[in-house]
Amino acid sequence: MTNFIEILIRGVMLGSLYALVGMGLTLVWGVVGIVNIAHGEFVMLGAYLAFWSFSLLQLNPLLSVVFAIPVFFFAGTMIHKRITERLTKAPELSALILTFGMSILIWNLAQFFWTNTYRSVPYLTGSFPFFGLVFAKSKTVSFFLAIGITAALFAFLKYSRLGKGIRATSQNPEVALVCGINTMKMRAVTFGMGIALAGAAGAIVSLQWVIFPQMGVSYVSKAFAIVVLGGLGNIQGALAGGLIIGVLESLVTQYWSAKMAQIIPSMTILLILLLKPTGLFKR
Amino acid sequence: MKKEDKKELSRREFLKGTVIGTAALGMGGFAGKTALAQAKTPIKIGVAISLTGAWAREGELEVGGYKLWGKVINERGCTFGEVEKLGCPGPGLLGRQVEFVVYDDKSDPSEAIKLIRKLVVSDKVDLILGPYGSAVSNAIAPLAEDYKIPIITPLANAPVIWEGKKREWFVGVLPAAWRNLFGCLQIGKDKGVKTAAFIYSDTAFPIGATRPLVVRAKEMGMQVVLDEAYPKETADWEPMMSKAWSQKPDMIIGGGYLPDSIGLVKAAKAVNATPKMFGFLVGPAIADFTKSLKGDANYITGETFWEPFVKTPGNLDFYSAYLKEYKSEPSYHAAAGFAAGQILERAVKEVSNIEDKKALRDKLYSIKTTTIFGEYEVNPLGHPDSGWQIGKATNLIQWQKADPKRLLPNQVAIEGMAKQIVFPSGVKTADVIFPFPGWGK
Repeated sequence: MTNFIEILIRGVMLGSLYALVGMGLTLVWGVVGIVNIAHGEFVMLGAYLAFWSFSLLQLNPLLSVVFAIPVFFFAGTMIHKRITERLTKAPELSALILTFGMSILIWNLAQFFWTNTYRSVPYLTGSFPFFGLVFAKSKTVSFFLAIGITAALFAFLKYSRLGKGIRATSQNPEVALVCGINTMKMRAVTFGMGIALAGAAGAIVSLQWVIFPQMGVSYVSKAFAIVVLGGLGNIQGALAGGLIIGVLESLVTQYWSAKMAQIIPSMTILLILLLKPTGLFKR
Repeated sequence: MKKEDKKELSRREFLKGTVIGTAALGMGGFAGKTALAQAKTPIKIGVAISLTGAWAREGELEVGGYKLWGKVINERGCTFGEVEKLGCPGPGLLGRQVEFVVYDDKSDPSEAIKLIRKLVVSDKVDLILGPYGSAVSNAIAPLAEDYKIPIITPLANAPVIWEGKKREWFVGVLPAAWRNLFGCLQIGKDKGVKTAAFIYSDTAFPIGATRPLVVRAKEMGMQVVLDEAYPKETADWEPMMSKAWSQKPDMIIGGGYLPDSIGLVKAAKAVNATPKMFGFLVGPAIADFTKSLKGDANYITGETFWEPFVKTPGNLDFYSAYLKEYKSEPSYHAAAGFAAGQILERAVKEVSNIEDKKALRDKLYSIKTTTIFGEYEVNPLGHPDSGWQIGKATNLIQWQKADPKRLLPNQVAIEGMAKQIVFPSGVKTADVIFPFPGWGK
């Protein structure tokens, strides 16, 4: 029983990280209307940012998580203003093709400059004991970071003026425009936020996993499963979806096999699209 | 009349003689020029190896061994140990400088296949030295047969490459993969171990190294509480380690390559796994393992085929040459690369040319020798497992706290620890520390 609770909590910790990535993707998709295939590549870039900051500047990886947010937010808004804003009026296939191209460009550049050699950030090893249970220090700290960022995101969207503007644009862009909301600015800010969430998730991931240029692929597939599970544009749904995927992976690895756990994202997408295409959660 | 005939005949004779003489001179000159040109052209040795990707570090070490061999033979005309007895006639191999054409297979077997084709067809290399690892070696083995170029692969030992395959152009240097961590089972059996968990990467070598051990563990009367292959793409080993440790086994054995061994030790500490013994493939023999894990590397065991302090012929010279060239400690990967060069050197010198690929191949299958790496002897042509290494022994090392006063010559301490050979008993340098005392102890 102790073991089961441990596995469950580990799944929740894993899921909190997936939720960050999923929320970023669903935000961009729901508000900006773009399917960003390159989303996983920003997770990878966030991980490398933490790695190089630690290796070259001896910067604490926890600080990398904090400053990844403004760095990636700025990068995201720039990318949107220069590249992806024009996709909002274009057919959906154009967005898919462009962001797919971006994805290939980014990970190939990463491979060229940083090679495929696995990297890791040797920070926070060992475990915390907790009422007879054992949890990895790196995963526990990552969990609290992810929860903190999620709470900040929810608070921003609910209480801030900009957040309300984003929600209005997401619900009905034409009416939002008529009400005087600068929808173009909302989209740029949202895209920036989506990329910032991916970058921050990547910096957190560097504490726990090995880092390599192709690592974004697995995050994108999980992010899509989360978006489908939670419902398109539904931030709360993405949070719940992330936690569900994390817990499922943890349980399936423990009680079935790691190889079966690999197929969870694709099976989730298949089942949800067949049985409840709008997602499990109401917006 | 007769006088005129004579004149015509002698003119004809003169012309005939001139033509034949000129042609003979020309051909002789051409042959001489070709021979002279050949004597100067370098011997091109092609290598497709992992310089990036999951096996980058191992590939880098192996190709470092190749290049050092090339450098030494280019300078001296021979390398160290047994091959010196064949003579050191002067710079180069058969008087020709050795040159490498190296491509990166990105730790991808399908990429390696394309690169071998390129090396043979476009680059027209004279000889080929093998890649890193069993997966890539298994992929390119058929090409050796197709192109009839003998290939030595120094760091591959999964059964799938040779077992029942009758390879006629592909030889290995490492003994069967299951021997890598067999020492863990033997030690475990002697110490009364009852249960074991096996977790390993889902690729050719880890499967070939670990699954036969699962069978042997059961034969020894141990209970196998977990036998699971995790996906190659795994970047977080904690779920697997947690699953293994949830059964509280006496031993946890397996892994894959360097990243797996580091990740598994980190994960073991993260879940506070404390079996009596850990045994992981490949990583523990490499200095990077301990530099990365620091104190957490203590008491971890793994296989080795060579260490700087073993007394094989020419090893001291190899070790100093390596330190001088690369300013770092060689691992068995580098030594294996160098040894592959030595085996090729012997074959080429005994055949006295590089064009007769069949003769070179026959030599590689019949040579019995000792390199800086150890014994070399493969199953002969005609044997169902021909080409598989049968001469080389496998040892088990364990990282233990180093006593600076008791280090062997060339035994180096890293982070206050040194590798000790703990199995087999005939060659061990220290007794195994068993059971695992715990993290940070």
